[in-house]
Amino acid sequence: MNNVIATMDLTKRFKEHTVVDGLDLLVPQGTVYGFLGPNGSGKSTTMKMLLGLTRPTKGEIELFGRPLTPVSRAEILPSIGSMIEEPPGYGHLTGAENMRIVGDMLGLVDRQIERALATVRLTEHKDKLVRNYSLGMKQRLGIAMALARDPSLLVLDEPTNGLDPAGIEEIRTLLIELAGQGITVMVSSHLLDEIDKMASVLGILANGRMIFQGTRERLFNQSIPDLIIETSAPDVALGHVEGATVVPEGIRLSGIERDAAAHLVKRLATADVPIYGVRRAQQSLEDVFMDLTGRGGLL
Amino acid sequence: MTRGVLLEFRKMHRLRTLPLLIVLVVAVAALSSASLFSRGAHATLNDSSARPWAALLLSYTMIAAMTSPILTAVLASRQTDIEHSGAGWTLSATAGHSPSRLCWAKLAALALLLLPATGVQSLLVLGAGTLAGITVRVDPAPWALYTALLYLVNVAFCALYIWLAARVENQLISVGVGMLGAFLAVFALLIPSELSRLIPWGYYAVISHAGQNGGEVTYVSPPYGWILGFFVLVGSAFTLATRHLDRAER
Ligand SMILES: Nc1ncnc2c1ncn2[C@@H]1O[C@H](COP(=O)(O)OP(=O)(O)O)[C@@H](O)[C@H]1O
Ligand SMILES: [Mg+2]
Repeated sequence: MNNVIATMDLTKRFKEHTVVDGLDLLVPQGTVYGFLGPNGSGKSTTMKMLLGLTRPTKGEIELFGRPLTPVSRAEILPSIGSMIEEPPGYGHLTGAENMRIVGDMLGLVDRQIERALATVRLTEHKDKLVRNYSLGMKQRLGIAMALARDPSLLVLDEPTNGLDPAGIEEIRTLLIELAGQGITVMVSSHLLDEIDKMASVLGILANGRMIFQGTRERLFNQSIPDLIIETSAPDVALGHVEGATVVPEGIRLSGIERDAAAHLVKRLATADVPIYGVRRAQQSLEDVFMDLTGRGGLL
Repeated sequence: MTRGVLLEFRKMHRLRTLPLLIVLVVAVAALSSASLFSRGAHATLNDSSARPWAALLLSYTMIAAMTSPILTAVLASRQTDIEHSGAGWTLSATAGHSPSRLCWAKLAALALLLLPATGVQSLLVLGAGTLAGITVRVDPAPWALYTALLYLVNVAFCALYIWLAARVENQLISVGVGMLGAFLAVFALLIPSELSRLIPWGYYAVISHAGQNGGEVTYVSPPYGWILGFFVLVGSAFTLATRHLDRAER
């Protein structure tokens, strides 16, 4: 698989403070890459470096297989649509006038602008002043500005920030659709459930370091789901195992691997604990994420 | 570059730049010529030894010094502030337009507007003089030279305010500096030219082509070398300072 974005040891330091620490990003073509991390973990800084808006302290960046240099940047930039931190938009102008400005900046034709507005369903609001837009409309206008150039890569920094569930769902559907058309989408968020279901590849950042990168499936496989043992005698069971908690159906244990599970069941059965069933808990991505980033690290 | 300037005119839409400019131009012309229509003035209008045109030019210089720093600061600040509030620096940067290029485009756009505005302003003052009944022949050279230099000083200060407005997000700063500049510019008219040329806003006074000489108003020749030096200094400072903006971490 081709990687649209690849970085090697990408590092950014502000004075002594290391904000992005040795990232080896790999964003495969045509995927939605979810870039996750708590607030302040370095997501925006990383994206700014990818777009050449901030210079890395160390490391290399390759976009579409080409090293990012001032010369290559000018050639690559037109094929990258982006929205970093706050959505852009001149408040004293209408949505359409803002799009016109972006169009002139990049030499786009009217059809591209109209299509971008239609894609984010902003056509009927295009003649309103952006100042009077809701947050969701501003985010959508920002995405339309990124989309108008027909990019091969979209870099969106927290595009769902501050949106209601319906708005998040809308953007999720849009991004999946765009990826279906072959556009590579890198989207960041500090909230897991906003990115869950849309990203097929995840990169998880904590304190500027990548603590996980890979498919959703691999992420799940990395962490062991809790073991639930259904029994009518949890108190008896507790006497034979350590670190278990009582749940309505029996007891629950975490961090028990396959062999340990077999061993445990045998021990309980020998102790005459009535076992009605043994199963693994349904694991949410949130749990896995919490495991990785450490509880309390998330906002 | 021309595309960038065109974009600035698009952004100017609804910023009320043009109405603001027109009101100020008319106001400056009216204030400059107000004294012509006072009762005592009438006697001097036909007296060539009283040099009524030079007196009018001096009055114009005074009013222009008082208002131009504020006008240019407001125009530059409005044109630049939108990039902060609209996340325009990043938007432009992702299209390959650096902040310095944006600042130059803003300067070019405002300079294009100020050119006819300053010209019309001087013509209005001359028109008012004729209307008030000055029959003495006007001397075109000092008027033309003063107008040209006033225009260039205005453009120079636009550059300063654009940089300031880009650098400091709080626009009270750039407009406040403009107001302070207006005060300094008027103050500079009252002190010797040797001192005025050391104050940046003093150049609104340094370019004056009329002056008081022992109770009489006459045409004077400003120190063109110093004025040229000022423009070169502002030009290089703007080039360096905006280039520095490109390297700033946002
Ligand atoms: N220009 C800057 N100067 C100094 N520190 C910065 C700058 N930009 C960001 N930081 C710091 O870098 C860290 C990561 O910021 P950021 O990349 O915005 O994180 P995220 O987008 O994940 O919330 C934060 O601690 C922030 O304070
Ligand atoms: Mg951020």
